Amino acid sequence: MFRHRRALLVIALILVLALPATSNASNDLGHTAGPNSTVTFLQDNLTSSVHSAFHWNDTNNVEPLDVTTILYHGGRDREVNVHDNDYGDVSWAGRWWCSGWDATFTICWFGEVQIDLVNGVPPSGSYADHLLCHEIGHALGLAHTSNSSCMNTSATHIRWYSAHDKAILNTKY
Amino acid sequence: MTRRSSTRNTDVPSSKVPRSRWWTWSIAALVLVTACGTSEPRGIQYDLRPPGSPGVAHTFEELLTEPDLVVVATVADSRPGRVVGAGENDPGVAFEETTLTIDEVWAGDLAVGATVAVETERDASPFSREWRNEGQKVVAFLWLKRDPESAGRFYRPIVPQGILILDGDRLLPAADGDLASEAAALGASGLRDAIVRARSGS
Repeated sequence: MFRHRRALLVIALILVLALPATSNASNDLGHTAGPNSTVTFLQDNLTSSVHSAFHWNDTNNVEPLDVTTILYHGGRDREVNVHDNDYGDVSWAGRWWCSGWDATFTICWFGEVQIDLVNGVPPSGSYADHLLCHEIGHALGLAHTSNSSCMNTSATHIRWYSAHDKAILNTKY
Repeated sequence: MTRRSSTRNTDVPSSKVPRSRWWTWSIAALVLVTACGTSEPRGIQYDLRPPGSPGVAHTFEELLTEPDLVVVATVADSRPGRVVGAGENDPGVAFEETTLTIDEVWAGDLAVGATVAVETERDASPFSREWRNEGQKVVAFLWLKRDPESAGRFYRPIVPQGILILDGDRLLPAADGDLASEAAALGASGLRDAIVRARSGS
C-alpha cells in the first residue's frame, strides 16, 4: 500500500510539473502576470503606424475582454514590452518571447513583443492591426490557431480574436 | 542495499507489486507527458513576414525554390554574434553566428569546401532541437541577407524550418512545422531530387 502511494505521488508530481508544457496544444501559452486581471504594457517609442495599431487593438480587442490594460510610454520594463525596430533582414514580421517565467512555466512575469520594420518601413493599415492583434494575443497567452482569428498566421487580413480566443482570455483574466 | 530490498519484499508479495514497478510507471508517465507536449519552444513565437515578401517561405514549393543556397554542410564553429536593434529598453536581436563548411551544394552557386556564416536568433531561439554544435551535419536552406549591415557577410535560414539535422539519409527538423515535416519525410536523397525537380520546373 505504501509503495502504491509513493508511486502515485511521484506520478502526480511529474504530471503537475510537466503539464504546463503540454498546454500549447490547446491554443494556450500560459498567462501574463498581473494582479486583478491587469496587464501593464510599455510602448517603447513606437513608430506612428505601429503605435496606432497598438491602440486600435487595445480599444477594440483587449478592453472589451476581462483584461484591464495600463499603457506606459517610457520608463522601466513592464509586463509586456512592445518594441519596433529594423532588426536587419530577418524572416519574421513579429515575435513574442517570455523573458521571465515563473518556476512552472505557467506565468510570464516579463515578455517582449518585437515588430520588425522591414528596411525601416513599419507595417501599415489592416496588416499592422492584424500583426499587433496577433502579437498582443501571444503576450496575453494565445498560441497559433487555424480558426478565423488574427491568431491564424495564414489570415493576414483578420484583425479580431475568434470567440474561442476570447473565451480563453476571459478564463485567464 | 540488497538487504533493504529484500526486507521490503517480505511486506508485499512480489506477485502483486514488483519492486521496480512504481519507477516503471513514473518513467512511463514522464514519457507520456513529454510525448503529448509540443516541441515548439514554449514562450517563443515567431511570425513570418507575410506571403509575397522576399526571403521567406510559406509553402513547401517556396522552401524548395526561394533560398539562394541549399547545402549539406557541417558546423565548423558557433559563437555569440551581433546584437541588432538594441535600444534603451529594446533587447534587440542577439544572433548566434555559425560557420558552416559546405559538403554538397544542392542549389545555388558555391564550391564544396567553402565556408559560410549563418546568423540565427540566440536570445529566443526558434529551434526546438539544437543543431549549432561543432561537427553537426545539416541540410540548410539559406537566404543571403540583404540589409546593408549584413549584405555579403551573413546568410540566414530562409525560415527556421529550413534547417534539417542529417543522420545518414534520415532528416530531423530543427524547428517543427508542416514544411520541415514534409521535407524530412522525403529523406535526404528524396529531398535533393525534389529540389532539382522544383527548380527545373518539371
